[in-house]
This record gives sequence, structure tokens and C-alpha cells, in this order.
Amino acid sequence: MSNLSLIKIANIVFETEKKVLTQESFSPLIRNVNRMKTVIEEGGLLVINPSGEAFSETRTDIEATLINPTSENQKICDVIKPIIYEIQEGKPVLIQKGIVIVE
Amino acid sequence: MSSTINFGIDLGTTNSLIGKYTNGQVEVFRNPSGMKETLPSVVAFRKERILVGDKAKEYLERDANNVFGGFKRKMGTDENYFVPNIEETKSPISFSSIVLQELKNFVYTGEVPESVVITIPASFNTIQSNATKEAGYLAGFKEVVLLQEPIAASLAFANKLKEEEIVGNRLVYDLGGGTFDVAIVKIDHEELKVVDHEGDNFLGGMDFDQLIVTKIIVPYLESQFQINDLIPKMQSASGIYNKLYYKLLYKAEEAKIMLSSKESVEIEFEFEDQKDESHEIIFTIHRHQFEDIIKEKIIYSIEFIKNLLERNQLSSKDINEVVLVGGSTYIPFIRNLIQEQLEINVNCSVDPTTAVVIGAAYYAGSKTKQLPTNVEENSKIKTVSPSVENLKVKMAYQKNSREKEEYFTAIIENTKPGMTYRILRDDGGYDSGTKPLKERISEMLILLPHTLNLFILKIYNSQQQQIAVEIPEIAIVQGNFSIYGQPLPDDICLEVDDVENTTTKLELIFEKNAILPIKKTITKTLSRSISKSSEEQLLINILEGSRYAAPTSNLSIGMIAIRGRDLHTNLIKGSDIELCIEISESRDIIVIAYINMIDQEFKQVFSPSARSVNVTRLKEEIDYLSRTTNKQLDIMIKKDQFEEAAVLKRITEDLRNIQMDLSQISEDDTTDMKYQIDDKKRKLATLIDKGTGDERLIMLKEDYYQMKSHCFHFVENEGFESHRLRFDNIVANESDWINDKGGKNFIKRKTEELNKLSWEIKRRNLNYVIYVYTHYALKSEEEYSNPERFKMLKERGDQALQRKNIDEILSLVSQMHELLIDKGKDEHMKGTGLS
Repeated sequence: MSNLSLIKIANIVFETEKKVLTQESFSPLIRNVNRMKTVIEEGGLLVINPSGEAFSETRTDIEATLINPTSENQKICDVIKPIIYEIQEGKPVLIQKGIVIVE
Repeated sequence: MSSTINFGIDLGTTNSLIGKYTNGQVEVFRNPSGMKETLPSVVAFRKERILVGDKAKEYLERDANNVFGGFKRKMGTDENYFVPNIEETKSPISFSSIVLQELKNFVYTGEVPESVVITIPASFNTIQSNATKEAGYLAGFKEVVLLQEPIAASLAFANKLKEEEIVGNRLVYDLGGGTFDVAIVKIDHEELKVVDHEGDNFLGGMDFDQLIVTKIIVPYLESQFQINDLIPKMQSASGIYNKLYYKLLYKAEEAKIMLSSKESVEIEFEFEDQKDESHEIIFTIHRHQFEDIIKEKIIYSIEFIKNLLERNQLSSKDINEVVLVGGSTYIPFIRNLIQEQLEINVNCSVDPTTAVVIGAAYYAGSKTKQLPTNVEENSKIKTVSPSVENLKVKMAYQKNSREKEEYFTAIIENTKPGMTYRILRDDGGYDSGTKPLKERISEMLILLPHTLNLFILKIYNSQQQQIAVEIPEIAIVQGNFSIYGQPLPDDICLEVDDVENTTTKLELIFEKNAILPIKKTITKTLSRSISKSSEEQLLINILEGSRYAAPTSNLSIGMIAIRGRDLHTNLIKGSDIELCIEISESRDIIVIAYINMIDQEFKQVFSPSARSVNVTRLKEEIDYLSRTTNKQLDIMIKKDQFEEAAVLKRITEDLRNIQMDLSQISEDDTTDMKYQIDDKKRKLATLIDKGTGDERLIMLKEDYYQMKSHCFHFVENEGFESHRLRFDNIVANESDWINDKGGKNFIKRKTEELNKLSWEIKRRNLNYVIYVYTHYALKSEEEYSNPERFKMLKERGDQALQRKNIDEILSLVSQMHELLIDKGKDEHMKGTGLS
């Protein structure tokens, strides 16, 4: 599978996980989602969900929409796309910035 | 050093790019942070740092006084901007120079371009053009050559055409993210010239995203949830749907891109109505809907073209083709509408996003450098890597951290006014931005979890050129790699069935020296069915030792036996089992097995102090070792290898003794006898694997190399790409395992894999298949268990030979093989049930 396809799948799995975690009736699917995440990891991608993390202007791993830029302690409140690193020769390289909303 | 300029820059209103011409090809460099080719032409002045590109863009709308984009339109004017955060006035030239400096960082090759071609809009007058040059010099370039954007775009396309196709007039239609330009370019044998141009600085792809939200999504939400005036509620900073608006803009952009290749696209989002009830919206946008809402804008852009042609007394027939530039021209509707309305052929053979930079680089590749000699010579020493006398950097930081960020500080001796610094994480996820260099600097460095984070501190002089000063990398290990972490002393493997060779093999889970704690989830398939209530068992055996050794030689550190009697229902061959294996810092091993088809979970925690030995399994292993050793002993005696045979004889006797001991104990034996037997078994297995002399190892290596060369011949001459990939995969890391003394088993397996691959290729060759058939057909009847059936198969085979039917012949060969009394097969070992 090409790297581009794997990145696309990683994004779809991320969206699926977000949905699965919001509704209790989907909880049996968590295991399947985790399996998919493992396969993606084995494919050499490191997928990070920065939800809830502190925002900093020095973070170049995200592209943020700032809802209230003057507020202190800004946090990532919504993640539209996750951060993806590719492991190349044992080292991570940022290949997709996270698309996030910061409040 | 090259005599031509080679580097080209598209200094765009919305985005900028840098490329390099080398040997007839242009490489467009990518941003090391995120790997995008484009850099938004935006500069932000935050409290103490300067941000460029994507990070700066985040603040564009929210901190407009300190963030600047679109400044290219103001180049050459006397308009200056006061930046409150730094209390300084800045010009569009200085903003442009910051963007140009940032583009230099995209050049991963380590080169520092001194001469460069920078593109400018066709509308730029002399003052604006000179302002662009000045920005280039301010960014540290020693030579700046300007090129008009429509010409650059035409060059990118012209390079794909034959000489006679190039000459004539072209329309360059450039529709980017936020701006629109159109130009007529005349090409004759000698020169490319912009005849005339027109443009609108407020038309681009971003308008289309907004239209999707306001004209398609909003009306749907308003009618579905009976909401009035949703647009102001979205677009107002204090509106309750403001966050949703930005989310929808992103979704709209994605939908717009997908609608270029699909007839319809679904977008999904959560929507909270006015009663605070949450709804999952799945919304389909059809291409025709999108086309309807953007049509007015495109017609408007085509009117520009018509005016331009009329003004220059040209008709459509005078234009060879329309060249498309800018990301928005990916939209097929735009391409079709232009072609339909103007009746001019549309050329979209070059990526519209990079066309200008590609053209600029082509031009740079043909343009000889005009640097004064002294500048070039000096530049090797001073300009490329200026140094500052006695500049010293002393750094302090914690090298191991469990925090998400770590404090870094440094003392800088002999700084000079105007110097700046920047710290970058080498994976692209952190950038301090450019900050003034003081005698003492400090920064909170954000860390990527569970890995070694490498940061680079760069120092620049007042001309923003990087200073050559030796600064060691800042290396911080986060999480697992803390000082408490300890490496695994050996490989940790799972024993799985080697179905083809009717034995078992090791599959690596954690590599030697991996840092604890460590966790991994893998999915395996059941290789045999297990009936509920039966005594059959499925074994999950975790072993420690070389991955290349035989499973019997390694130490079992955790084993779960799932017996038929433990199951609610039958387990069917082929179903999946999910294994989660975790080793804690204190070396506890947690194994969780989840069988999907019966929704049953088995969990066991093993600690090094509480060893577990499965007696049934131990018996099977010793029996297997005994049978294989006896067989090997017979072969050695036949080959007169008496010295080695004597060693093996002693091993067989020892094996017989432990077989006797083991027969005395039960599965639930409480003494430590089974541990002693297990230890003896492992030692004997290691002896068999390692200690039966180097001669056997040499023999196995010879077999392997012979088979490798044989297989390579077939892969090269008759194989497909997939065969080549498999071959590469089999021989991968050869140097690691070929010299591993415990790896005889592994070498043998590799030889078998190569043999299998050769056979898969050869079986498509009729001559070879006939050769194999003849080998079996010419054997005497006594060698087969059922001579009558053999005769019948032979008769059918002779007929199949006449039909030259490969599959039929192979099927008969397989049946003959099954009838053979001595199939020459290895002893088989009862498997684990996992494959």
C-alpha cells in the first residue's frame, strides 16, 4: 500500500474513532478501531490526537484556527485532522500537520 | 560550483515556493515542517518572535495589527506598517525578505543560494520590480534576476512542447487562493513577452469555499432546523456558530478538492440546534450544485479575458492555447467553461500550483551567474557562513524528561546587536520562530512523546545570514527513554506454526535493546480448529532469545494454553486472534488474547520469578527433538561423519533420559522437576542447533547460496515485479542472520522460502513442468504406496502432456508425490495453533 493511501486510511480511522468514542452503543467497535490503529502504526505512521493539549505558537505540528486568540491557557478543543509523523530510518518526520480549533 | 543560477522562487501574494533546476529537471523543495511545497506569504510579529507561513496565518484574522499577508500588492509603495508588538515600522520589502529567507530553509541539500530568479506579477512597474529585488538582497541573495509570472508559467508549459508548437500567443489564466490574473504572452523564436494583462486581487479559491458554506450548507441547516440568520451567527466572532463556521470552511475546501474528481461528495459534521440537541449531519454536495454557485465568478473572470483580447485587437483564433496556473484551476468546470466560452484549447499539462516556480527554475537553469568574482570568492568564507569572533554558546537543559515540554536556557558570549536565533525540532513539529539574541536566552521546548527529540539552535547576524558557530544538537529523550528505562537483553518472540514445514518458528515481537516498558498488539490467525470441551490446546508461547534460533532453544517466558474445555464454542481455523503483549519496567509480562469470533478474552500476567512450564507442550517438544536428532544421526552415519555423530549420539541419549523423567510427572506437578527438565531441553536444543559442528552450518550456507543464485536467475529472467519484491524480502538483512551461530534453523527456512519462490516461477514454464513430471513418472512402481493408482495417474499424465496442459500435469504430479512411500519430509512438530 502506498504511503498516501495509508495516510488517508489513518485519517478515516481517526474520524471513526472520534465517532465511536462519543456513543456508548459503538463501544464494541473500539477494539476493531484499535486494531486498525495498530496496522497503521506497523505501516510506519505515528498518529497523534492533540485534543485537549495546550496550544503554543511554537507548535508547527498543527494548523490552528484560533477562536479567541487573546485568552490565556489556550487549548486545542477540536481536532479535524490528526498529526501524522512517518518513521523514516527510525526517526519521525512530520508529514501531516494536525488541523485543529483552539479556544 | 555551477555557473548558472538554478534557483527559482515564486514569491506569490498568497503562497510562495522555491525550486531548483538540475540536469534538465526541476525539484520543488518542501517545507521541512509538514512537507508542503507552499509557504503562505504571511509574517506574524508575536510578542518576541517572528513567525512565517502557516503559523503566522493562524493569527491573520485575529491579530491583524501584528500579522501581515498580501503585502506583495503594496511592494514599491511608500506604505509602511507600524507593528505594535515590536513597536517598529516595517515595509512590504522587509516582509517579503522574511518570506524569502524562510524559503531558503526549504533547501534540504545544505546549499545556500546566492543567485536567484524571483517572479513578479506582469503588472509590476519598475519601482515595484526594484522593491522585489531589494527584498531579495535583504534576504541575503547576492544576485536577483526578475521574471514575470506569466512568462514563468509559459516556460513551464513550453518545455513540454516541440519547437514548432511553442511559437505564438498564449493566455495565462492564473486563479490562485485569493487573487486572479490573466496575461497574453507572445512567444517567437527569440523571446517571450507579456503583451498585456489584467487582474482582480480579490477573487480566488477561498471565495468558493465560502460560497459552499453560505449557499449550500447554511440554507440546508436553516430549513432543516428552522433557524433564521445563520450566516451572521457563524461569521460574527461572538456568534454561537463561529467555531462551526471555521470547521465548515475546512470541510468545504476538502469537498471542493474532491469534487474535481468525483461527481458528488459527502461531508460530515456535528451540529447543535438551538435547543442544544446534537445532530450528526451527513450532507451530500453534488458537482452540479458547486458549479452553479461558482459559475458567476468564473464568467466574471472570463469577461476579463474578453476585454483583454478586445483591447489588443485579438480574437480567439489568435491564441494558441490557454495555460492554467493556480490551485483553483484544478476545477474541471473552470477548464471546460473557458474552453467553451472562448473556443480556445486549454493546456493543463503542468501542475498549476507549481507551474510558476518550475518556469522560474527552468529560466534560472539557463541563466549564467553574473556575481562579481570577489563576491563569489568571499562568499565561500564570509557570506555563506559568516562567523563572529569569540561567539560562544553554553547550553543547559535536562537530557531526559517525562514532561511534555522541557525548559532550555543558554548563555551567549560576545553577541552583537541585531543578531537573532531560532530553535527547530528536526522532525518538523516545533519552531521557536526568529527571536532577538540576548546574552541569556530561554525557551520551553515542546517534546514528541516516547522518542529522542533533537533540536537545532541556529544563530543569525543582523543581515539574517546564519552564523558559522559550533553548537551541539540539543538532545532530549522523552518518556520511555528516561534514565529508569532499561533495554531488553534479548529478542522477545512469539512461537507460531510453520505450516508448510510442519514445525514451528519464531516471530519477532520486541527487538533486543528495545526500551521497557513496551507494548504491542498483533493479530494472528488460527491454523487449526479447536472443538469446545476437547483436550486440544491453542498455545500462546512468548519466548526470549535470538529470533533466528529454533523455538525449542529459547526460554519460554510466558505461555497461555487455551484448551477446548475453556471455550464456550468451537474455534474455527482461519479466525482471528488478537494478542496484546506488554512488558513492564519490572519485566512482568502481560498477555491478553482476544478471540474475535467467540468474543472471549484470556489474560495472564507472568513474572520472571514465577516461571510457568506447560508439561504437555514440553513432552511434544522433547519428542520432536528426539525424532529429528535420530534422523540427523542416521544421515551423519551414512555420510561417515563419525566425529559429529558421536556428539549427536550423546544428545539423543540425554534426550531419552529426560523423556523418561518427564513421563513420571503430571501436568499439575508441583515440584520443580518440570523446570529442570525444561532447562535441560533448552540446553540440548541449543547444542543441536549450535553445537553439531561448523560443518553442518557450512553445508546449510552452501545450500542457501546455491538456492539464492538459482532463484535469482529465475526472478531475473522469468519473474514478475512481485517475485522480485519477495526475493528481496527473503534475503533482507542477510548479513545479520547468516553468521548467527544459532541460526541454522533460520538459514534452512530461508533456503526453503527461496526454493518455494523458484518453484512458483518455474511452474509456469511447460518444459520445466514436463521435466518434473518425467522425474515422477520414471520412478519404479515399488516406490509408490498404490502402484495401480500410480499407473492410472501416469496414463492420464501422458495424455495431459500431449495437451500441454500445465495445470493438469501439475495436479497429477502432486497426486503422484502423495503416493510416494518416502517423501523425504522432515519430522513434524505439533503446532501452537497460531499462524
